[in-house]
Formats: sequence, structure tokens, C-alpha cells
Amino acid sequence: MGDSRERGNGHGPDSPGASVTPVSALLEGALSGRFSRRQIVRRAAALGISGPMLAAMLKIAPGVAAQDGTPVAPPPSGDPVVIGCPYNLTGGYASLDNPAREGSELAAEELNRSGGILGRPVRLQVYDGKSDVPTITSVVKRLVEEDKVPALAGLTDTSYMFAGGQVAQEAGVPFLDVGGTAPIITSIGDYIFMLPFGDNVQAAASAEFAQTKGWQTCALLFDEAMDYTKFLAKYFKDRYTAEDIGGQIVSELTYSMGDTDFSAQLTEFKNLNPAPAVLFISSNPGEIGTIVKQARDLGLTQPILGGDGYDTPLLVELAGDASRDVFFTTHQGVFGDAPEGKAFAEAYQVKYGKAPEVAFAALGYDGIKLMADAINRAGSLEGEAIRDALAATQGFNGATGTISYEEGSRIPSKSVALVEIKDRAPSLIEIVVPKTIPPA
Amino acid sequence: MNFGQFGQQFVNGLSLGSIYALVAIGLAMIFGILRLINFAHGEVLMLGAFATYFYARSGLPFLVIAVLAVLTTVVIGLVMERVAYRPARGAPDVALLLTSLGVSIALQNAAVLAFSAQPKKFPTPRLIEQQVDLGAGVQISGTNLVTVGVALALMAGLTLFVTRTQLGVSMRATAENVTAAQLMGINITTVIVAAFVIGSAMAGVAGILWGARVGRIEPLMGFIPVLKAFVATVIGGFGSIPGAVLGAYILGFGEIFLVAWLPDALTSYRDAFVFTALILVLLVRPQGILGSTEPEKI
Amino acid sequence: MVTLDHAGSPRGMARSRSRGVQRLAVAVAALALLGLFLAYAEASLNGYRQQLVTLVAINAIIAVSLTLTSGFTGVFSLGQIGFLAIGAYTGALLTIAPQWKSEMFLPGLPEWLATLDLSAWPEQAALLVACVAGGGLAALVAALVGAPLMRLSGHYVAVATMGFLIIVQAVAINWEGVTRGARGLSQIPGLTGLWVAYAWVVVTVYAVWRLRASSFGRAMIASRENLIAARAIGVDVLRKRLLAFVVGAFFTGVAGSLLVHQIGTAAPSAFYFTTTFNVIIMVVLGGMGSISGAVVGATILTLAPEYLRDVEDGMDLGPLSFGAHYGLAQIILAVGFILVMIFRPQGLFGDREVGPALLGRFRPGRRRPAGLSPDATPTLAPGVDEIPADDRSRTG
Repeated sequence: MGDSRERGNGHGPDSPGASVTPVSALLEGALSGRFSRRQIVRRAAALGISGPMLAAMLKIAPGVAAQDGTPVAPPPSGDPVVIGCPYNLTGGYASLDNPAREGSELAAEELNRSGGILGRPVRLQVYDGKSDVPTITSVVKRLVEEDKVPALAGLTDTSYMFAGGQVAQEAGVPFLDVGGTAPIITSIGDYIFMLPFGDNVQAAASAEFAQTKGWQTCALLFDEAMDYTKFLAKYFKDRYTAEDIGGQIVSELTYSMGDTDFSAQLTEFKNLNPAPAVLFISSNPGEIGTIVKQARDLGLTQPILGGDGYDTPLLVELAGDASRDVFFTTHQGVFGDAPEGKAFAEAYQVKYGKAPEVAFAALGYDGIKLMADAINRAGSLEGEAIRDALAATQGFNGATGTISYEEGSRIPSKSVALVEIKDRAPSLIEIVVPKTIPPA
Repeated sequence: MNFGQFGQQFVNGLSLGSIYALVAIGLAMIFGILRLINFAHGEVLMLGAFATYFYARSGLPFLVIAVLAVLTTVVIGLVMERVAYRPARGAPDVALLLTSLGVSIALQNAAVLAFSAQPKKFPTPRLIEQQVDLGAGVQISGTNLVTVGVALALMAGLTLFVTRTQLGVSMRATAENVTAAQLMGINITTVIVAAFVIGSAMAGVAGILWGARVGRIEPLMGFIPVLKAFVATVIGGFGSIPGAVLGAYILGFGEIFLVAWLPDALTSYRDAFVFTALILVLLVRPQGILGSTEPEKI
Repeated sequence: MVTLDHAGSPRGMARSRSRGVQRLAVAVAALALLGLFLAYAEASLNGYRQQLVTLVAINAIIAVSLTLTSGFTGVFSLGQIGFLAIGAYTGALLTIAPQWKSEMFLPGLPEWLATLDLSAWPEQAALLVACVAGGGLAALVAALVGAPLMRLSGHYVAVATMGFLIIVQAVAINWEGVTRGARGLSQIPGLTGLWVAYAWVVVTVYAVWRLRASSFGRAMIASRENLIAARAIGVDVLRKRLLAFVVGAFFTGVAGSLLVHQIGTAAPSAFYFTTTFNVIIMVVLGGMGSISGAVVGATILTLAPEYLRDVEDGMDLGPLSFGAHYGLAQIILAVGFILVMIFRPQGLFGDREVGPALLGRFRPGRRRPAGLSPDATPTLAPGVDEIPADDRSRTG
């Protein structure tokens, strides 16, 4: 499999025949600017390289350290490293996947300015899966068998991940799931990694937040046609009704993706007696603005709680002042203090002339950055090496938070940002790690 | 369910039914004359909403923008008729149906390319976003009020048009029997063009009302309304305009009250219930509720 | 209005015998060509291309089944993909290994199905069971649903079958304990290969071909062309339609099972309107009454989008690709399709078959409706052009 894969043409440690050593991988990382100085020192120490030795090594690598100490990479050269990006760019998921694609392309552009991957330029091969499961398998097959990409990053929904992930697993090509948050995704196999936290984590954070607020009764509304919304609701219910919280779900209604009228369900909620203390609405970015607006229109004044589907400017745009008392959990990057999140948001604004529309933009960005980091650490384009490097990721600072994979887990342990919409703007309440996480 | 709760759901159903009715009228009118189920009708609706979105940037008063948007949809309808349907006229029904499906897919994807797939906020005027309290816990939003009012006014206007004007009578005659109408000297092309003008204008209005109701617009927004309108026209009796309106209200109320009355655990099956009911209606009365033409039944 | 073979006269019988030999020769030649192609494909195409070739076969089976249901009887079904879903889920639940079934947590499964393990069987035997069971269940449902529905005609049957599709979709999404809801079943073994897929194409084409050529098929077409006349000569239209509906459902169910054993997952989103419209376009593009037309339509609509990907991708200039326009392929296809509908409203082949034309058998002197090219011989003259305008609504 590896023989047929594209190889570098004599550049760096990936040149044909060169044995790939951890030391060269480290140097490569240093050259490409992906490692912070601290990381380099730590990793070097792990390899038994002392400080002076390291300094000597870095000195002989030209252009590594500029005057101010930040690494400057030489421009990438050679054949591009192609990362396969299957996304649903048309059809029902287009509004989720297009921002993710834009994030990915931004990341590729930045990588090419900072040394590329393994000293070679990065190219993304993006294919449209048309929001169609059979097409997704064709697309992933095409990427691994025809384009022979060494790694894949893309997709934002579980059912497509299951279809595409299986193909990648069989072919032994690492696939980083960019936006699908169902924690069962990684059960496909050891080549499948998740970038976001699992829905069970964010749902638990929501439920525990509801407890601290003293909201003991809840009406639940979710989109039954989509995995993400369905499971987010299920995990919330699991955690919320657990003994230590003791919350009560007083009503549970559904709608379908693409629905535009929620007045029937919301009127049902309004007719509940006694009225629930909080509404947990598990929705896509597409629908949530409309739901909040219609809920307030009907006179539902309770706080509304939900997941990272709320992380879209459309919510405030659509609901306006009705977006008061809306709380949600999301990826911390943009809302936290981490410079990576802020830098991403600025770069995105510059490149596309708009703010990131949904959380998937930052996830798509991180997907490429993390994959590039893993390939650099692997020092090779072999599937197995990249997989092991991905699995060994520790403390990768992305726009959506710090990513580490614990031993044997391919779901990152990430903390969750709790956000409240105040005066038509989302503002961070706190970054939390839930106490108890319901099983996947 | 007490009176107030029932009243609130009733208002919801009335408003939903009104929008379905506006879409269904255009669909039924074009079907009556051309025997064409115009799937692309939903895309006319979508383009009407997007036209409003773009014109609103000019800062003109909303009514002016709405009129311009409706005129735009009329032009789109005319172009569609001229470019795609007129050359295919006389082809079997299924070819016409599939032509409209092709137009629909092309326009959807063109809209994704031109406007991106991201939903956009519809520029609903503040005035109609107000809430009106009808007492007994029943609230009606300004949007709903306008929707119902506009729909009723347009339907009244349409009734006058088809009963009192020469062209309207010609349209009804053509819907009844194309050949006989032609023998009576009715210019079929004029009638078809008129049907597209009226149908597209209605779709444009529906697009604006839909946008105001939902708050957001997106390139794929046309599919659901046209599907619902299609069902409404069948319930009411294909090609019959009053039937389409009746079907639309039945569907609107049906969807709302099914959610209200079904046990929570079954609400996710509501589409299945709606369509089971629909199939039963068809089996008992295959020509639809107000359908006049004797359908083919074995 | 229905022009059948000239089998009624003695001269016609002699001719039909010689035509029978010729047909056999054509069939053998076609099978040999197909075999050669598959051997080539298996030996030298990569997995992606093999999957495409297999998907052509699966789509061809669905399209040919729909030709039987819609093209011959005039029952315009929008519910065919519902049967695809039934076959898909049935087949998948039979072959998914028991440990995966328990991993996926499917409490709605009966004990025997939850523990059923076909992995010890020879692969092709397991797949055969999955296909036949999938097709059989689809046929059974079709019989139950069709009995009342086949009474309807034209647009009414279209809406009613669409209702069936929506109901199947609602069940697939909500029957969590069996279908695993929106995320669908995964870990379905990849049992479908090129050969078995094309074997089913051959079986389907043969069955549909025989059905059409039989007295049953002629009665069916007669009822499509003129219902009242057909009934007047004693055709039991309801039974004919129902049989066509059930047989079509069987093969579509088989295709569903083949599909999921090719792509490895069965998710509800794969069995809804997009797929429905796609398959209808295949059939109408090829010609509503043409078996080979359906196969050609399936081939075009499976392969063209993949070839058009390069157009969508735009140009590669250096490290980034510029000018990517996702959705362009679908616009190009839609416009092409509209053009076909305008210039050849009866589809590429109308009611006719492509086989004889390839062998250059062209009988002069037959009346052809305007607009059809002379490069194929009609075995059945298209009737659509001759129906007066008022009847057209009924044939849809």
C-alpha cells in the first residue's frame, strides 16, 4: 500500500530510502514551526537529547530560529502532500460542511506559509458527497484508492462518518472526523479519530449547569431526523434525570430537519401546567434561530438550553432580542482565552470577509492543522505511522481547544465552553469539565 | 385542551394552511391548464424570498421591495415557461413533470452557488413582528395575521378574476377541456402565460410570507412547501383551485393538531400519520374532495 | 394503438422463430461481452472504480424494476425507494455479525435475528439469502400496500406511493431498536462483488423482459395505453398492475440488499427523495418503456456525476485549487436532462430496446413517430405520441 503512495522527491527525512527516526521527525517539526519551543525541548528530552545537543541540532538546521526566537520555516517544496477532505457541499448538509471546508482551506493556506507538511506543500483534495451516503463511500474510496491520499479529514455528521469511516478503516488510512460529535464514531476502528468532544460530554455539561441554576423541570425538543440532535437530547436526558441531579423531563417532542414551523410543538410546551423551568432544545444551526424566535413569539419566556448547534451568528440575527436567556455549550476556542481561537477568527474574517458561521469552521480548520501536526510528528506518510502519531497527540493547541488523546481513546478529552447570549452577543460563562459523563 | 389552548393551535393551523394555500393555488392553476406538476414552483418561491433579501439592502420601504420581488418572480416564471416548458409542451405528462424536476434541481444548485448554502436572515419588517393578544391566552403574531389576511385577499381577488374577466373565464375553460377551448378560439399560449404569471406571483408572495414566518431563507427552502402544496392539491382534487385551498387548510390544521393530540412518543411519526390519512382519503375519494373530473379508478 | 410482434400470422410465426434464434444469439453475445468486461474490471480497476461499476449494476436493477412498475403499467410510482430501504435493512440485519448487532444495541430485534450468524456461511450464499429475503419482504409489503393503491391512477397513485415512501422513512428513522434510527446500521460485510451484482442485473432484465413479452405483459401495456379498451377485452387491470408492482418491488429489494453490502452502511437518508428522483430520471432518460433504456439511463446517471467532479473541482493552481464550484455538476446534469426532455420527450429510447439496433437489424417500412431516430427497431411502437391530449393526464 505504502509503495504506491506518493513520495517526496528527495526533500527532508521523507526522501525515498531514508529511515524515519523520531529525531528527524522532531527536527521536521521544529523546521515546520508546528512545535513550540517548549514542546521541542520536552520531546527532545524524551528522546534523550540534552539541551546543548538540541541547540546544536537546531543551529545546523538553517533558518529555524530567528532573532526573536520564533521559528521561521523555509518555504515548502517538492510534491504536495494531499489530504483528502470529503464534505457534503450540496444538499441538506451544505450549510454545515461548507464552513468546515472553508476552515480547512484556511488551515492549508496557513500551513503552506509556515513550512507545509514534512517540508512539502499541502494540498486539499475536496470532494462533494452531496449529503448522500452511497456518494460518500464512493468519494472516500476515490480519495484512498485513486488519489491515494495518506490521510483524511472531513465530514460533520455521524451517519456519513460511519459510511466514509468504514472505507478508510479498511484501507488503513487515518480519518479525522471534523464535526461529528457522536462518541460512537470511533467504534468504527483504530484509524478513526474525533476532533470535537463527544455529545455526551457537552450534554452532561448542560445538565449540570441546569442543576446549578436550579432548573428542576425541563421540556425537551429535538430534531428526530438527525443523529447529532437526537443523541445530544438522549445524553442530556440521561445526565439530567440521573439521581444526583434528579431533574424531570415533563414533555418530549420532536421535529424534522428542514421543518420551518414549530408552533405546534411550542404551543404544547406553553400549555404545560406547571410550566417547565427550562427548555432543552437540541437543534441544528439552521433551525435554532427560528425555534427561539417562534418560542418567544408564543410567549415562552423560560431559559433555553442547547449544544454547539447554537454556535452560529444566525441565532442572534434571527431571534434578535428574543435570544435573551439562551445558554449553550460549545467548543472553547473562540470563547476561551486561547490565542489560537482568536487568531483563527481573525484569519477567517480576513480570508472570507465574514465571521465563522458555525462552530464547524473552526473544527474544519483544526482538522487540517492537527492532521498536519500528526504527519509531521510521524515523519512519514504511512497510514500506520500517522495513526500512531495521531493517537499520541498531547496538548495540541487548536482553535477549538486543547486536544489530547488519552491512552486507547480516539475521542479527545476537551473541556466545554458554557456560553450565554447577553445583549445579542454570546459571552463565556465558564470553561467546564463535567463531573459525570454518561456512557456513549 | 382548554379553549385558549385550542384557540392557539387553531391560529397556528390557520396561518400554516394559508401559506400552503398560496403555494397550492399556483400549483393547481398550472396543473389544471398544462397537466404539469411544477416542482420548480418551490424554487420560484425561494427566489422570491431571496429577491426580497437583496432588494432590502436598498433601504426602500418594505412594500415597494415586496412588489419588486413579486415582479421578479413573475419574470422568473415567464422565463421558465418560455425556456423549459413551452418547448416541451405536448410531451407526455411524465416528461413535463421531469422537466420541472430538472428545472428545480438546476435552480437549487445555481442558488447554492450564487447565494451559498448558508441560511440568511429574512428582512422581516419590525412592524409585523409584533404580538397581538386575542385574549384567553391566545396570541397571534403580526406575521400570522398578515399571512392570513394577504392569503384571503389574494384568494378573493383570484376568484373575481376567474369569474369576472374574459381571461379568467378562458383559463377555467382551458382547464376544463383544452381541445374544446381551442375550438372556441381561446389562445392557449396566452392562457398558459397568464397561469404562470399568476402562479409565480402567488409563489413570490408565499416566499415573502414564508420568509417572514420562518425568519431565515436558504436555497433549499422551496422543496417542503411545494411538497405540502402538492399533497394539498391532491387532497382537494387535482386542478381544482378551491379544492387546493381546502386541501391546504386541511393539511395545515392536520399537521398542527396531530402534534397536539398525538401522545408525545408518537409525534415523530406525525408525517406517517398525515400520509396514512392522505392515502385513505384517496382510496375513499380518489378524485379528491372537490375534484370534479371523473378519475380513472379500477 | 399497441403494436405487438407479428406473431399472429403464419408468416409472423416463422419470423418469430427465426427472431427467437437471433435473440438467443444476441443474448449469448451480450453475456459474453459482459463477462469479458467484468473480468477486465476485476483484474485492472481499483476499488473505487469497481464500486462505480457495481453501483451501475445496482442502479440498473432499480431502474429496470421501476420500468416494469411505471413504464409498462402507467402506474407512476414515487415509492420505489421505499422498497429499496426494506430490502436494504432486511439484508443488512441478516448478515451483520452478531457481535456488531449487540454493539450497536438493537433491542427491537427478535432473539433469533440478533444471534443469527451468517459469517460462517460461504459469502455468496449469505448474500443470496440476504438478497432473496430482502426482495421477498419488499414484495410482501408491496402486495399489501399495492392491493388498495393500484386502484388509483396517474397523479393519485404518485401521491399515494409518495406517502408510502414517507411512511417508510418515518419508520426507518424512528424504529431505533431495529434500524438504529438516523445514523443507520453499519458494519455490514462487503459481500457484493461485480459478478454477483451483474448476475442479478441479468436475472432482473430477463425476468422483466419475459414478463413484458408474455400475454401478461401485453395486457399490462394495453391497460397503460387505453384503460377502458383493455378492460373491455377482459384484462384484469388491477391484478396485472399489482403483479408488476410486486415483481418490481422484489427486484428493488434485492438491489437494496446488494447496495448495503457494497457500501457497508444502511442509513435512512440514502432512501429518500434524492434517490427517488435520481432513479426516476434514469428511467425517463432511457425511455419509460425500455429495459435497455433503463440500463443506459442508470449507467449515465451513475458515472456522469463522477466524471463531472473534475469540472466542479476547478483548476489546480499551485497549492490551492481555485474556482471550485460545488453543485455545478448537478446543474450541468439537470440542464442536459431538460434538453433531452425537450428534444426527446419519450426519452432516449422510448419504448424500444437498444439490442437489435446494435446488431444493425433495421427493418424498413415500419411507421415511426416523428422525432425518433431510425437507428433502432421498435418491437413495440410507442403509444404516447398518439394519445389525444386529454388522455395524457391518465398515462402519467
